[in-house]
This record gives sequence, structure tokens and C-alpha cells, in this order.
Amino acid sequence: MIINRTRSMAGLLAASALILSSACSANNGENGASSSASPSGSGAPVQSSAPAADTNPLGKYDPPIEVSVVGTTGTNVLFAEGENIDDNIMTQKYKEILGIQFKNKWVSDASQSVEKLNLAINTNNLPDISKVDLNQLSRMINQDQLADLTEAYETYASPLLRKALEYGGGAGFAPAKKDGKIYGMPVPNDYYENVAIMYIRKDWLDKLGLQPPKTIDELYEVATAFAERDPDGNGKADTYGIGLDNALGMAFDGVASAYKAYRATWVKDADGRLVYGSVQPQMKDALAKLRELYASKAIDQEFGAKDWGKTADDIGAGKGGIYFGAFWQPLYPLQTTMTHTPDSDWNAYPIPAAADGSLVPKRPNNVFSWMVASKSMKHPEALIKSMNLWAEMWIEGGQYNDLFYKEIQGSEKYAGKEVHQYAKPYFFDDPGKNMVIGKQFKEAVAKDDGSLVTHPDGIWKWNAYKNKESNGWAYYKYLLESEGVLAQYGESFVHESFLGAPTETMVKRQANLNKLEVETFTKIIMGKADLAAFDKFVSDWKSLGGDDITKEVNAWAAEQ
Amino acid sequence: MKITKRDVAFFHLLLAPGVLLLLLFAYLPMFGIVIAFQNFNPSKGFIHSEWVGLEHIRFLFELPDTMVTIRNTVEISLMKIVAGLVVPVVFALFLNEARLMWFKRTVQSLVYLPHFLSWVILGGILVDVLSINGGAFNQALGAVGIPPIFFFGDETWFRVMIIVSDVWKEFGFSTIVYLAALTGINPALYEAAAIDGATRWQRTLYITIPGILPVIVLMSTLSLGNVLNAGFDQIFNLYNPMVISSTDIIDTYIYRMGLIQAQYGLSTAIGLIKSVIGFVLIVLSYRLASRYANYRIF
Repeated sequence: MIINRTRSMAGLLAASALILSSACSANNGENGASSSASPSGSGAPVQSSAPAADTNPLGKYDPPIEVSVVGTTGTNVLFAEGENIDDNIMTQKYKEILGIQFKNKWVSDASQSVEKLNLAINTNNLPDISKVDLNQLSRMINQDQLADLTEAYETYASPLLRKALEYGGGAGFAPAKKDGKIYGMPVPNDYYENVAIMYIRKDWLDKLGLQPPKTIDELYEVATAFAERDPDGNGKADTYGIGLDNALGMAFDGVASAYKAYRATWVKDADGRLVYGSVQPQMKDALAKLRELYASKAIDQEFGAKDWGKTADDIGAGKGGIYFGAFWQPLYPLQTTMTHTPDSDWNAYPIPAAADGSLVPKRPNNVFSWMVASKSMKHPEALIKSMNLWAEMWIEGGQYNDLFYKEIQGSEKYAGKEVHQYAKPYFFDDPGKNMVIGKQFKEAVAKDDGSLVTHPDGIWKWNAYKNKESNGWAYYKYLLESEGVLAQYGESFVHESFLGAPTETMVKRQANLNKLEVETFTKIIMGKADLAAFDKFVSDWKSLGGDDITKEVNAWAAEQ
Repeated sequence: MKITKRDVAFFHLLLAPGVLLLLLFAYLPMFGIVIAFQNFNPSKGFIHSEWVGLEHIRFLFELPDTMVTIRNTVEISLMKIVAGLVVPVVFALFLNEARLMWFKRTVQSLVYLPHFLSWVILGGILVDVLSINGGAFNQALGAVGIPPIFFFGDETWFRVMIIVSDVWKEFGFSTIVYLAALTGINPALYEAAAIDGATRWQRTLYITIPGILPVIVLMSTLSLGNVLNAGFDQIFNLYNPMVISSTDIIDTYIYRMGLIQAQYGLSTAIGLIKSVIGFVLIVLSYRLASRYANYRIF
């Protein structure tokens, strides 16, 4: 709950993916009931009678094959009339186009999927294709439970799929490789999924006559003013500046980046060696500043007791005025502020710059999960083929774009049903998509011409914004403002430099080290421990396994 | 009524499903304990996984957290046991003096009610009620001029809160047990004492308390077996990084190690240690119970 950051992040990302294309309200009324229509767009080279051994990325299995996966339910997984998790428009289309009949080996709630799958891994009772996290992936590879996908990927992956999976250098493949073989297909999210952006209540800034902060000192002033000068005007001292959560999430990173301190990240030092960001001397400066912010009540005084969701609730309830979050977060929680305070407004800004004016945010990897095929699966290439089909539907330029965006998502029947969630075997995103749509939005706003938004996933979002439909505000904010901030960051990022599978000592010790880290940092920020506790933390970290991990990480780097 | 051989056979048949379930879910899984001595690999199974002997147990005691969690567990549960003993006894004594039947019944049900709430829900409620930022409790403190207490950020107060809330949630159940014991006291004793001129307080001291003493002893010795169960549900739903070093207990530790990090060998090893200590305590408490409260199973 507290310690496992990757897990909560993954959950968060899952949530984001769910939300991203939510409420795709009926934007183009054409083609009302057409679930049975064959793919209309572009002369699709679908050779429906091709034998199974065909190397066509979308070659159809004849007779159809059966592939088992895991079904996940959640509050926002909705199905159209007459459909369900086992049989819906997506399973039908995959069968029709690829000859693959997907079966759910089991169905579980999203909150339990990790534990459920752990159980399956441990009893070696796996579905043909599962979606796993980093720890599961490396365990399954070491336990020899996975099919080698190297050849299948080389042979079958379509250019569109490759573009998505190898985007930005294809770092997602690194942990899935062993002895030169690929055992898992990365599940890409947006390339900037976890890059911090600073959102500020514009109405509070205006009310107090303040300017958006550009440096860390200006941030200090604005944040303290939000805590002291009653920006919500209710006469009570019940507001704070910065919303930080107890996993030390993006708000921590947003401040620490100004000191070139990158928590829980492997970074390159001056000699090119990999070192752990949390134990670098800069971190002490960052902690000193956060401690100062906390002492002046600019940071939520109770952040230590609040997880991500609780902090998000606070933001929605109008308690905090500065929120560090990902590009998509206008959808949640920022949008919820308006339900409490209709005239509230959030603007997106770059995180504060360092004293020398430089600005280098951290960019964690955008891949947190992998699709894997069990060793006993007869047709592992079916995994690649299904991913191909999803790429052709979802990614701009795909031959099934019209089928997905117009016939399915655009139809009355599937409007607002978030059809993308039942993509098979599992949903994955196009990492560069939002940046492209963001640029189109910018042009369209500048020239007041909506026809400049041409991306299929952008058109309906533009319409939602123009027609003031639900989420319209959020689409506008994140595609125009947040993507604008990301574009402003340009290429200047500190990337996660260790991309391998968890090392031996990491598996054994990382959780304890993480706990020590979060506990120490929290206490320092809250003034319950001296700043000197940081030095003790560094030496403890090293002796409790950190030194061994550093050696292993550098050994990995040397092999690359 | 005479019990025939056929009856005995029938009774055993009635027992069978329970015994079967016990074997299936309590005894069969015991073979899984071997994982504590292996680097378990599911694709190789129990038989062929690499044998590491006592490596996991050695490593456990090398980890600084292990001893801390054991100490926390014992401290928290001992405090809970003591408080969970005193409060219901006192409460039952008071309630027993109540003359209005409907009042007694209502109170009895009301205090029993929280027992049915899940800690997931109570956890959320407690966070809100005890918040320093507009929480009802701290607002009340503020009204009488006491500075707010940050229950979720202060290690001492957090423990106090853990114990008080646990007692509040569970004491209704024990109260019922003691009330039942109280009704078992022969009313003739009270009448005789009243005739002899004993005051209410004297009657309580010399009749009521000795009357329920065997039950008190029984309840306390039996709770000894639970010393290593400090309440996973409660702590898991309430703890956070600020108080984790003083409230991390064996069960939350096992949860993180086993279910989150999937270190099955290690978490089985600590589970095994817990079971061994728990077993010793249960034997001990049974001995004590049979000696002082005349409680026997065998």
C-alpha cells in the first residue's frame, strides 16, 4: 500500500488509461447500428483464407483458434446492450478479422488483478496471454514459464505496432530480454505519462494578485500565500499550497528537480556511472526546501497520512492550490474542483526552475507492464497479431481506424462505453499520440479552425470541448496546456537509466530500502527528524544493500 | 437416554464434513511450509525447487525490520489484550446494575454494533474524524482550548488511537460474554447478602467479581494465544510511512513481503516463526486455563 510505488503507479496508470478516452459521447451520429459492418476504410489486405503459417501481420487463423486471457472489471468498464466481458464487439471483431476467439480464463476486479495473477504464476496455472508487471515478468522469465517471442515479433509485428513499442528507443524491451531473447511485449503508455507538470488554481492567483511562480523561491511565496491569505475566502485557515501524497509522488519530484535531485531513479553521474538519485547530496538540499515549505504550512500538514487518492479528493474539494501531476490530470482530479467550486480554474505551468534558471524534470519509463505468452501456448504469434490489430484500430494511420473510431466508438450503441478498454488481449496506447493531438489543438485554437484537428482520437475530443460536453474542459486543458508544457520541456529530461529486470539484491532488499527512504524523507519534511537524518539514511542505505545494488546496476549497464 | 452404537456412528458422520474441511484447508496446506526452506519455483514445484535450508530464516534476522515488527506486534497486542479485558468487565458490571431492561438491551446492542463494521470503512471514517484539518475530534479539542493532536503522524498517539479504536470496536462482544456469566450467578447469594446488610459495593466485590472470575481468567488466558495477532485489518488500513516503524506488525510485514513482493520463501519463513511461537503460547495458555479456570478440552 505504502511502499510499493510501482504498483500504485501502475494502478494509477490503469486508471488514467481508463479515463483518457472516457465519455466519448456521441460525436458523430452517422452509422447508428453497424456492429456487423465489415471494416470500411482503406483497401485492407485481409486474406481471410490464408493458412495459419502465413507471415501476414493480420493473417487469419482458419479454423479459428482459441486464446485465453484474463478479464478485468472495474467501475468504468461498461458494456453495450446484449454484450458482456466474454462476448462483445471487440471479441467479435478479433474473431472475424484474425480468427482468434478470446476466452477469459478468469475475470477479476481491477483492484485484485495483481494478487490473482501472482497466485496463477505461483501455481503455474497461467492463461495463454497475461499482462504482468515488472516483478512478475522477471520472475516468470527466471522460472522458465514464458514463450520466446523473438521470432514471432520479428516475423509478424506490423510497422505501426513497432512504432508504438519501439517509440523513444524502445526502452520497454530491456527488462523483457534474457540472453538476447524477448519474452514480453511492452505495453506502452504515453511517452510523458509520468512527467510532472505544475497545475495552479488560476482563480486563487488572481484573487491574491500573484503571478505564476517560475522559480523555487517564487513557488515558496505563492504556496505560503495560498496557506495564509485565505484564497477561498471562507474566513477559515483551511487551505494549503502544495498537495503532496505520502508516497512522495510528483509534488516531491516537482520541487526536487529544481535541485537536480531525482528520487527513486537511477541517474548517470559525472563519470557516467549509474547512481541512485535518492542518496545523492543534492537530495539533502531538496529535502531542506521541502522541510521549509512544510514548516511554513505551504505543504499539506497531514500529507503523511494521505495516499494519492485522498490527496486527489482534497484537491477536488478545493483545499489545495498547487498540484503537481501528469499531463492527463485535468481529467482527474482537477476537473472535480469545478463540481465544488464552479468558478474555479486550473492552469498548467512548467515545474519551477533551478536557481540557475535550468529546468530538467525527470521522466520515468513509460512502460510498466508487459504482455507475455505462457510457455504452453500453441500460437504465441497470436499475441503479436492481436496487438497488430489493436494498433491498426487505435493508432492514427491504421487501416482499421474508421472501423474503431467511426463505426464502433462513434456509434450510438457504443457511445460512452469506453470500448478501447476491451481491446484484446489488453489495451495499450500510442506513446506519441497526445503530443500530436496537442499540436493540432494549438493550431486549431490559434486559427480558430477545428478542421485542423485531424487525428481520429483528437476530433471527438475537440468536438467535446467545442460543444461543452462532459470532460470537454479537461480535454482542452490537457491537450492544449499540458501538452504545451511538455513541448516546452523539449528534450531536457533526466531519464530512468536502469532499465533492466530487478537485480538479485533488489528483489531481496529493495522493499526495505524503499520503506526506509520514504519514512526518513517524510520525517525530515515534517520536522520530526533533523536534516542530518539524511546522512544517516545514506550510510544505512549503502550498508543495507544499496552498495550491492549499485554494483549490480552498473554491471547491467556495462553489458548494454 | 442411552446412546447406541448407531448413534455414535451417526454423530461421527455429522462430524465428517467439518473434519474434512479442516484437513483440506488447515492440515494439507501445512506441507507448503517446505517453501520456507526453498527457493520456490512454481514451474519446478515443491519437490524440485532448490533447497536452501535455513537461509531464509538467517536472512530474516539480518533484516532490521524483522525484530522491530515482532516487538511491535507483541507490544500492541498485549496492550489490546489488557484493555480488551478491563473495559468489557467494568462495562458489564455497570450494565448489570442497570434496572431498566430496555435500556440494558439497547446499550448492549449498540456497543456490539461496531463489531460488524469493516476496518476498511472505519479506517476512512477515523481519518476524517481525527483529521487536524477540520476533523470533528480536533475541532472539539480546539473549542476547549487544547491544541490539535495529529493522530496519524505521531507514533505515540497513533498507538493510542489503534488501541482505543480496537477496544471500542470489539468490547461489545466480550461484554456479552461477561453479561452471560453474570446471569449465571445464583440470585440467592445476593438476597442473603442483602439480608446480612451488605452494601451494593460489597455485593459486587464479594459476590459478582468472584462469580465471574473463572470466565475472566479463561478469557485472558485464551487471548494469550493471540499475542502475535495484533490486528492486520486495522493496522493495514490505518498505517502510513510516518508511523510505520512503530506500528508495522508481523502480518503487515508478511503481506508486503509475500503478496506484494512475491518473496514466498521469506514470508513463509516468518509465518512459520509466528506459528511456532503461537503454538507455544496456545499450549501455555491452555495449561494455565486448565489450572486456574478448570477449563479442559481433553
